[in-house]
Amino acid sequence: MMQLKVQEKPTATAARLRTLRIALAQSSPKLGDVAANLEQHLESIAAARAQNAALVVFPELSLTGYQLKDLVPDVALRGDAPAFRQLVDASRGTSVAFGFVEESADHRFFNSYAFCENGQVVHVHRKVYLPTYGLFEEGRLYAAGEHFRAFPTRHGRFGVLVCEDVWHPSSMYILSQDGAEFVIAAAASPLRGADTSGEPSNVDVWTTALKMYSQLFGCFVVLANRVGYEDGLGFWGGSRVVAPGGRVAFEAPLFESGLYVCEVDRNEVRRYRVSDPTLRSERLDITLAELERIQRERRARAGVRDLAGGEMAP
Amino acid sequence: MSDTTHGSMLEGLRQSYRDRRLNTDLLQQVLVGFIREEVHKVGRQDAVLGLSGGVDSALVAYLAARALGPEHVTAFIMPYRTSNPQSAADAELVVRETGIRSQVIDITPPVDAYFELFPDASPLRRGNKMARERMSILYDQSSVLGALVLGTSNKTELFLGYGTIHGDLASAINPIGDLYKTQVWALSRAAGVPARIVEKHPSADLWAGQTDEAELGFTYADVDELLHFLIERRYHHEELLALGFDAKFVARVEELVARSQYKRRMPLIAKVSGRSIGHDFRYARDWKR
Repeated sequence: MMQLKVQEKPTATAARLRTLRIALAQSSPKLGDVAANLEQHLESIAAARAQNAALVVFPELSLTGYQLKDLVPDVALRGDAPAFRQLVDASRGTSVAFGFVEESADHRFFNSYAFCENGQVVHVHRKVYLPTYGLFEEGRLYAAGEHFRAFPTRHGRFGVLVCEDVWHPSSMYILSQDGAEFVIAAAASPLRGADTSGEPSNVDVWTTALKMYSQLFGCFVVLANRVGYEDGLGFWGGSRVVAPGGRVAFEAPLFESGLYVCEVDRNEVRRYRVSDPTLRSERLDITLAELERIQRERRARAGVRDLAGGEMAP
Repeated sequence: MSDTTHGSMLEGLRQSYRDRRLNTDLLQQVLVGFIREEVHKVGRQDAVLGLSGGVDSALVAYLAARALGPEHVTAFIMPYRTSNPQSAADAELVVRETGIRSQVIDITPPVDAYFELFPDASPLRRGNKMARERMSILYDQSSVLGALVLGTSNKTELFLGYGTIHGDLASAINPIGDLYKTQVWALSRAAGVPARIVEKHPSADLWAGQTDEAELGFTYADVDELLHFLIERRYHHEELLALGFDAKFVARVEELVARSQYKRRMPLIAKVSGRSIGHDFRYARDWKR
């Protein structure tokens, strides 16, 4: 069972604010062992409930581990799988968000992430951007999702991004335009670059991106990153909640597994957007028209690449 | 761009390399966690390693003692009759300082018995045989102790191929294989490895007076800077020359890196079936661990 760490006790004033207690399950899944990971999830959910958390957030592929390779079909779940149903059932009273491998009816496999509450599946996000470069090979394991959708929950309007999705600003823009007040960024991010005296280079990049998103889009960003080691990759954890405007409201330690409970005030979204009302002047029509123009022009130029020295089509 | 500006940009690039400071606290945390988790997840509590008296194996001993507890780490000190006695003395110092267990096993009898058959064998053959003799002892002892063998090869020697395949390159897990030699030095200082071990000239200790840098023909400081730009930053040959690296030096290191690729890979398997090991039977080693 994971160590339990609590930021603060619920307070009397918490009721007057629109308080949300979030449990960040910074776990270390056992690679390819869904049964063992399911047990770990159920324990964490029970511990979070005992701490009055209203939402438990697990990392990417929390039910399976990350470097699955040929294990993908062996650990994939359909919506009626007992392991999946147990987690959905466990969401009565406490909302539960977790990562798993989803098998579609036509036997495609997705790196998926479910948000459940009241014993129901509220939303499943299929990871859209599958990193297939450097040490990553998701493009040869999974089919890509095709949607970014915000969705209503007991705690406000949420959106989900899975790891690489975060590195495409359009995904965050879409969720923002779709009304997200909270964005869960579920990750399995391995450490790269501890050769500086500051934060490891990719931790630094993550921190910057999450702070910038919460500033630009006036929403909460909840990072749930895993810990543990798989074949020499060390996942760095450091799960955190960034409040609208970029304030890091809570930060779990690097590399230490645990259930970290923190409390945020949902009214911060409103306060921030009152003082920084950029959302109301966002011109979705211009964005769409220009993107459509760019797509039209690209299609027109496709296949007309001049290798003899002329300008390449972008 | 004027020449002056050009020069200062290049100097700035190399200066930024020299100005880097290793995050030694974080690195120790990661490497200690790596050893602990990778040993424990295969159901073991113990590790063994060959302790040469050099800085690489000393650093691994310090990290392993922290990860597993010194009572769960056993160092084997395995001198040959031509080894510098100072090496074994330095290894004993590491044992005392870390509190790990140790045993001295002289590899002279088995190695000499073999070379009685080949009295004209070159120093290189003899050195490789010694490295494999030590590997053979470590794997035998690891089986007796229910332990994993810890690797002690650093990133510089792995890239240069400056090690014996199935000898000192063999291990179950290697905590320092992604650290260049100069980074091993920096981390060793932070980890508390005695200064006399960090500061002495690195040597494979195969014959009296041998040093790595004399044998390689360049210093670790120089080659680590080159490898930083070649490997980490992906600079091409011409770009490395523009940075001011010597052309012969660059060519030699590029050749060493390419020529030793086989030492960094598992053996090739001829594919004749639909699903073959090393080709399309693909699982992480930590499968269900």
